[in-house]
Amino acid sequence: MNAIETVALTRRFRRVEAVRELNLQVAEGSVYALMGPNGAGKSTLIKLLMNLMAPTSGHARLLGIDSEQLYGAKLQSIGYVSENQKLPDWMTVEAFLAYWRPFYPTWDKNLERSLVRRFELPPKQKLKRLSRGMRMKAALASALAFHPRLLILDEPLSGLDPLVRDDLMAGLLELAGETTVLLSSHDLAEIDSFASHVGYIDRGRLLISEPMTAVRERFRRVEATSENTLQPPATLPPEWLQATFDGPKACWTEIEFDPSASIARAASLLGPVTIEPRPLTLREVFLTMAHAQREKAAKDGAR
Amino acid sequence: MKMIFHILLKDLRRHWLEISGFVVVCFVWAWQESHPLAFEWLHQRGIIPILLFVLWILVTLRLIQGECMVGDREFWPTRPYRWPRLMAAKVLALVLCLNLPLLCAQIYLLHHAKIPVTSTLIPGLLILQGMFLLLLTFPVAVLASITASIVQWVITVVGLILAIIALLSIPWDKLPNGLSGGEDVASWIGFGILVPVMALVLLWQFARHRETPARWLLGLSLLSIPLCILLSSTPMVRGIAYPLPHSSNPMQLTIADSGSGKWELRPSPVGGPPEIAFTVVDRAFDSDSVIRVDGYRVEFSGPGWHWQSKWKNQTTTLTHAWPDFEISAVVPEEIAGRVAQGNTNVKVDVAFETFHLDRAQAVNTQGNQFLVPGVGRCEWEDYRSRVLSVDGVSIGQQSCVAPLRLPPIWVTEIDSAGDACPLREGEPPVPPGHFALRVEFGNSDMPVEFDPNPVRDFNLSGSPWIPAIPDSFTPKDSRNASFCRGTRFTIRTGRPVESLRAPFDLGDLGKQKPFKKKTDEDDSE
Repeated sequence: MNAIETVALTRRFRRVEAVRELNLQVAEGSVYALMGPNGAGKSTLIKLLMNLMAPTSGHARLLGIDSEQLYGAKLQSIGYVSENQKLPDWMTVEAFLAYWRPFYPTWDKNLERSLVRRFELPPKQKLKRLSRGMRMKAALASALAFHPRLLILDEPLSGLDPLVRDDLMAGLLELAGETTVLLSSHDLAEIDSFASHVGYIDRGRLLISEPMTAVRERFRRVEATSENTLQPPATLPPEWLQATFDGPKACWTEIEFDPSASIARAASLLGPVTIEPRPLTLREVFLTMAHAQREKAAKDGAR
Repeated sequence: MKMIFHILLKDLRRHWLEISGFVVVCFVWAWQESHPLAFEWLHQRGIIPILLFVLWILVTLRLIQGECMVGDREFWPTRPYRWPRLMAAKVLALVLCLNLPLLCAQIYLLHHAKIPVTSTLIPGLLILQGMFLLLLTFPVAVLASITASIVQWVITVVGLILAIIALLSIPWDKLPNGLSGGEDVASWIGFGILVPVMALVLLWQFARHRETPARWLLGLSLLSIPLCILLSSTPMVRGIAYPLPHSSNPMQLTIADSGSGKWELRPSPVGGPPEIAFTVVDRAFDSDSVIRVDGYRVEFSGPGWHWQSKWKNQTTTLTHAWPDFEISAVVPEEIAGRVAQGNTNVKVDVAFETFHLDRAQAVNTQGNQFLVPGVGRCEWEDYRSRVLSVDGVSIGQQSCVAPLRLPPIWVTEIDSAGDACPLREGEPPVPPGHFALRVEFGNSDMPVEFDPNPVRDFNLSGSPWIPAIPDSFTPKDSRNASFCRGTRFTIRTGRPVESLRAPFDLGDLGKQKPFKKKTDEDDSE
């Protein structure tokens, strides 16, 4: 069963389509990393999911509930933390957590205490006196203490120092299996280590959405070496991105890597070559996709 | 309920400073109202009431915007708030922080004015709280629910004020005159549109927080204001405000004949069209009734011609002592000429409100304090009790107070036998058989008057003796009856019965009176 499911979800701001007919499925129990450059539509998508905005068309379901019906008691099993959220700054950490306690029947006071300890949150300190990282930790503690079935995090790690990031990641990792997590982030290196699924969104469209293992299998940086000078083919195959040719060497990112098919394709286009495929990190995948989209946009613009 | 108190406590903790400020100002205001001579400079500038008003708005804004319903960066909409509980917590906080201190201040003011706060006053005080909630807190809260901050709220209010100024600059006076009853009906229609729309906006924002449709809905509903202004002068609204009588007509009008003629043609002082004026008398007057004429229109007709005026808004009070009033209409020159030729039939349509008076109750003013049944209580201000009138104009020599509101109508009658005012030197006493009647109307049709101070001040004012007695010192003036310590008078309170519009065929207009030009001396009267 999917914890999140969207069908042709679209949000338009006047002429700009921030989210375009987006179909997303996030399996229950998975940790789904939503990637994409700035302005790609990640935050808008998350706001649509959380019913902070109404979709222009299409619909989304979270834990079987239509996103537009997501309010009141239906939020008792969904946690949400965003880097842009306005917190009740006048409250102390202690009062902040105590305030939310009666709202959630599943609130776990022991877990709350352990999160406060783990995140080293000062209970008597007002939220407005805390650093950004500590405020995010407080928000996360309040979103974790009730054992949410679904946790949605919008850029929770951006701008945080590595130590705080590690703390937060450790806190999230403890939930693995118990909670479905959807998070958008630019901190790809960290996501790489624990995301089970990954999605790539650009200009409101979901371009990739698959298990992490499949992405790792599919994307390869390929280096081809020949005895002769390699000439780029008249038309590059769509599976090759960011191809460069330098004398007897050529490099490209193969987005549908299959050992035998990829070697055959390279041989047919470049002649006899020796191929060395190297797996990509999530960060490299993200950058490749981002560059490719930018090139495509430039070409489309030139036309 | 537990959740409501949980949110309420959070709000009280968060806004304690503004709330405490309001409570302090509320009690300073109550003290100042009850001691008008203390801190006179502060009283004159009206700082405290303004501060009270501003703090009322501020507390409302802070409480509502504490869980801001605008924008997508708020924390609370992603939490399991149940909107009816959130709304109930906010209403409870508003009542507790604003209405409760005001209620305490009002009880203090009543107590200070020596008006006992009995169980009969409690419903009125609670209605007054409800009025403050509906007429002040509610609109502020609705605007707060569609704005993200106090600054945005202020900008919205300034925008609304500018829109109202623009609305007022439209030449509404070009429209036909609206009678007061029609304006009341139109206001109720406007109220009937605005209040449900505002309630819908507030509920919608609490339940769904989608400010764009809410803002549009509220903006569109404001169009009901010009609509109501337009409606107020329409025959439909006039018909609702003043229906034709079902049974017998409570008025029977005839044209008064002064002996020298029935009507007068008055040329316009600025060279415009002339005016035809005549006096009508109600021959069927019942001493238990008072009629307040709100307006009329006149129709003149003769062989082969016919002319009708527009409705004229003119308030006149008729009692058994004064059963006549003047009807006048500005007519085109041509019509004035035709009317002057004679053989003119006249019809009038009169819009009026009838009041029924309860039985008269005698009041003795001998004591330092005395009750005015159905109205309030008065106290003699000793240092003034000898000064009855200055140049025939009576001045307030008693200090009278009433709780919550003045009755819709009250009539005082002094008989010459009950007159206890000392005579000026050389002035003869008022002969027997004379009486002085004064009709007063309350300011509000509601069960309580919309004012934070529940103590209403009023004066027992004098009126000319009937039949008129020339003043001994300035014979062209009439002598006025006044209220002095020991004056015996009767009081009758009453209630509105119905508003009606009745057509009267007054028959032939009759003989023209010679026009008597008003002199400067007349004007100065």
